[in-house]
Amino acid sequence: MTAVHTVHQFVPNFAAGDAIGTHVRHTQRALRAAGYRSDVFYDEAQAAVRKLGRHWSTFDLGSDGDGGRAWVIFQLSTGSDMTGFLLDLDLPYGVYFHNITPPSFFERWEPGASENLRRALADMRRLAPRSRFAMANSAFSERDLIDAGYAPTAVVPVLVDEADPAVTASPRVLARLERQRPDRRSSANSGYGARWLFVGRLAPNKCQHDIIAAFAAYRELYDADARLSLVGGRTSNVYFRSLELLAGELGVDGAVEFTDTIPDDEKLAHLQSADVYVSLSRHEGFNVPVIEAMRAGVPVVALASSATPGTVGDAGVLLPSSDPVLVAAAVDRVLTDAELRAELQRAAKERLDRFSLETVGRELVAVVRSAVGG
Amino acid sequence: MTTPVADVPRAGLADEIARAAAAREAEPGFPKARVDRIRAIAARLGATEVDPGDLRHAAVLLERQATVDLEVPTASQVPGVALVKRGVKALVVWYLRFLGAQITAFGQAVARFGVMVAFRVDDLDARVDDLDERVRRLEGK
Repeated sequence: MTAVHTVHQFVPNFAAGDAIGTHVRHTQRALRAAGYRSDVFYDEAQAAVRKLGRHWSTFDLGSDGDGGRAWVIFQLSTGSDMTGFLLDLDLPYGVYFHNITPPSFFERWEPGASENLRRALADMRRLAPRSRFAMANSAFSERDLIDAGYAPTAVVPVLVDEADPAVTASPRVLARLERQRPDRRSSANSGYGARWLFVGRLAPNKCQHDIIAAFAAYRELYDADARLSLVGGRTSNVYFRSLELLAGELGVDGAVEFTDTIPDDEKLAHLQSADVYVSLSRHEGFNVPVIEAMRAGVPVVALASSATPGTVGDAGVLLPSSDPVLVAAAVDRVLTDAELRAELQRAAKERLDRFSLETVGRELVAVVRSAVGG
Repeated sequence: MTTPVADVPRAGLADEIARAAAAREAEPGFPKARVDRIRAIAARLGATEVDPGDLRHAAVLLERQATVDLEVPTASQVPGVALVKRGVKALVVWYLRFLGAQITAFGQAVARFGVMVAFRVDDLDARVDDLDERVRRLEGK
């Protein structure tokens, strides 16, 4: 039997800074380090990463497909023309499932987006019968794979960037955020101007509206000088406008910042200035930003929803609901209990080890090797 | 999907916080009206129970989308690109405003028409149901 040495990746949308793009780049590194020949083929790619792969239409079964001996890992997260192409290719494949947001979240905001998600779910079912192995980014996502008929399945967390020593926090943004902190001596409020942070696309499933509501309650009950940064681009413009209106309606518009997409050094400045990271997302396949928050030493308060509990583990405060008063009380507890914060930081170090590139890369290669050989 | 709190790590801590929140809410002087309002507004945005075939909802969405947002996002992950985008925006904003005003006016006219049609169709549906019921009753006599 000929040993298999080629495992390519097919990814519908290859982006520079998102979780899937990062995972694809690290997967390629891990596979190459394990001795596999591995290239990336995409349907759409951002300019910054276009040269790291090729469009799927250039895939040649003879040279790229190693004469029919190559394997493919399909990065499954969205509907794509690549699905049909992969099914027509006479190559064995497995999938890595990043999860698909239920279309119902987008129905009232962006019906077009919910259509795309329905297509993604249909693609997921089409790929299942011939898939030879399937990896999910969390136990939560693995259940979706099993329901769709995939076997065998394994949980391999998403490969997350580690701290890049070349990136330092933007001094300009750090200075601006620090200037916003109230002077404790002159402030009429008993609070301390805590800075809340959430990182992620403005999307209905991530429920930034619940964060703004909880933040408004927190300012009312505990700290009138608190501020909130929502870092991330817009998925739905209508939802974004509704968030702006919500902040205005609740009287906290002057204290909520929508940064949109920002460079890594500015994101790092927001992480370093944050006092607490709050995630009330109702649907996550993994929740990469909580890992970034842990790395920056920011305590995490999160809704125990979808994959979030599996990622946060015991390194954060997990809540059963997004009720504004409950979330506000949790943030107050974290910010006023130094012992708890120290305990969370110790636990966060263990979680970071669990999700290190080395550990997860090894797990990913082991799953690939057991299916593909080599 | 929310994981039952008993199944998550530090479940005891979550319980403690829930008790603290309840105690806070029971305190005299708790701003109940304000907090109830916050809850109500957030719940309104969080609703996901929308029937894709709901004509009224489709019409309301059309109305929301009818306004063209001229505040083009200029942020970027790539350093320096945000500056270029802001420059381009400043150069073309007069042009965008001229076009945007016309598209918005057109969109709002279409949306208004759509909303009226949707509501009229819903009313007619209700009347047809009512007439059906009356015919059935008369036929049964």
